[in-house]
Amino acid sequence: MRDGIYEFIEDYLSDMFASVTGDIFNSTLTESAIGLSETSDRRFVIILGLAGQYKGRIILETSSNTSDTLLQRMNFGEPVSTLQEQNLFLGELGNMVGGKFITALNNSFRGLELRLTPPIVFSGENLSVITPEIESIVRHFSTDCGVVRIDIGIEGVKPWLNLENF
Amino acid sequence: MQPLRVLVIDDSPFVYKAMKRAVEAQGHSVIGHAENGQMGLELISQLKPDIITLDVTMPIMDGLQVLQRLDHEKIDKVIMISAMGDMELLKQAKEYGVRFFLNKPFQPEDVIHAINEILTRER
Amino acid sequence: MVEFGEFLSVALKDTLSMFGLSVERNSTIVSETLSSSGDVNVVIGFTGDVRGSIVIALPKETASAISAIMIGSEEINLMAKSAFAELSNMIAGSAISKSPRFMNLTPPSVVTGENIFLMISRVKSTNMEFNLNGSPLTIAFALE
Repeated sequence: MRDGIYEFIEDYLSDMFASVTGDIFNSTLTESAIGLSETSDRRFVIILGLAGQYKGRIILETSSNTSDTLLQRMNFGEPVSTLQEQNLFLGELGNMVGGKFITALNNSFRGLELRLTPPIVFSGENLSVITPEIESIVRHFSTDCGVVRIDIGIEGVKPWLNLENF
Repeated sequence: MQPLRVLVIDDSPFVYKAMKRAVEAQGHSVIGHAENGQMGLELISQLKPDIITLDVTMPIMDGLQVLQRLDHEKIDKVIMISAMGDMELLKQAKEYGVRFFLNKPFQPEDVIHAINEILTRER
Repeated sequence: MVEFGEFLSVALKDTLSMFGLSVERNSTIVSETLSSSGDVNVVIGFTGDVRGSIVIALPKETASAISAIMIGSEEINLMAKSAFAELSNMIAGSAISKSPRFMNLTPPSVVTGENIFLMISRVKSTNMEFNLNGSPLTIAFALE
C-alpha cells in the first residue's frame, strides 16, 4: 500500500470502523487482540472491491454465529434463515459499510477517488481469501455481536495527503 | 535459421514460462530471466541477447526506465510486453524507439512473428 | 451482455493457450443471481461506465490440472493461487479491453475452502460452462 494511505488507515481504522458501523452495533467497539477462533466453523466473508486509479479491497469476516446475530438485528429481530437471503442482507451491509469507508478515505486524500464494485458475499468452512500482490492491514474488533475482522489493502499512485478530522 | 538467444525481463514467473514455451517451440533459447529492470540491465550487458522481451510494469525498475538506459541498437531488439490499458506507457515506449509490442494474453505465433520481424529488419 | 460473454470466452481461450491449454465451450445459462460453489473461485470486480463482477470457478480437479501446468505441482498452494489470480487478471483485462465501454478492474481475490456458497448480486447473470479436457470450468459475470 502506498505511503500516506497505509499510515492513515493504521492510525484511524478504529475510528473509521466505529463511525461507519455506528448504527449497527449497540456498544462501543474495541479492538480485539484475539482474532476469529481457528475452528472449522462456517464463516461469512464480504469482499468489497475497489477499482479506479487506485485499486484494492476491503474484506469483512465474521463467524456464522456473529453473522446470525447481526442479520437478526438487521431484520428487526427475525432470524434470516436461507443462505441466499443471508448473502443478500450481508451484501447490503457491505455496500453500506464500504460506501462510508471510501467516502471517508476519498475525503482525506485529494485525488484518491476510490470506487466500490458490487459486494461479493460468501460463506464456507476453512475459508481462505488471498489477493496476491496487495499488502493489507488487518484488525479485529469486538462488537456486541461478536468479533469482526477487517482487512484493507489499496495499491496505486501516491496521492497528496489532505487529512481531515473524523 | 540460427537459433536466437532471448532474454526475458518480466516479474511474472508465468509470463516467463509462456514466453519460454513460445520461443523454444521455434528452436530458439531463453538465456536468462530478470524479474526487474535493474537485473534486466545487468543481464543485457552480461549476456548480450539477440532478442529482449521487456515487461512494462515491474517493481524496482520498470520497462520505461530500462528503455531510458538502453542505446538504439539494443532498443531495436526489444519486444515490449504490456497488459491491457497501458496506452500511455506504450506511447512513451514508442517514443523511445520500441517497434514491437505484445499485449497479454499473447499467442505463441505472435511472439514468433515479432522475432521474425526483428530479424528481417536487421538484414 | 452477450457480447461481454463472448469477449470473456475469447480471452479465456487466448490466455490458456499461452500455456498450451485448450478449453471447449459447453453451455451458457442465464440466471437471476450470480452464485458459485467452486473449490477455487477467483473474483474480480469492475467499475466505470458499467459496474459488475466476474467469478471464475474451478472444482479441485480443474484447479489441479491447471496448477500442474503452471507450477509443476497439483497442490493448490500459494504459488498456484498466484497463478490463478494472474490468469484471471489476464482474462478479465483482455475482455474489458475489447469492450467499447470503459471499465477498471479490482485486483483478483482467490477464495478457497469447503462447502462454499458464494453470491454476488440479485442482478441477471450469465454463467458460461467450459471444459478443460473433461474438467469443468465456469465463468460467471453480472453487469449492473
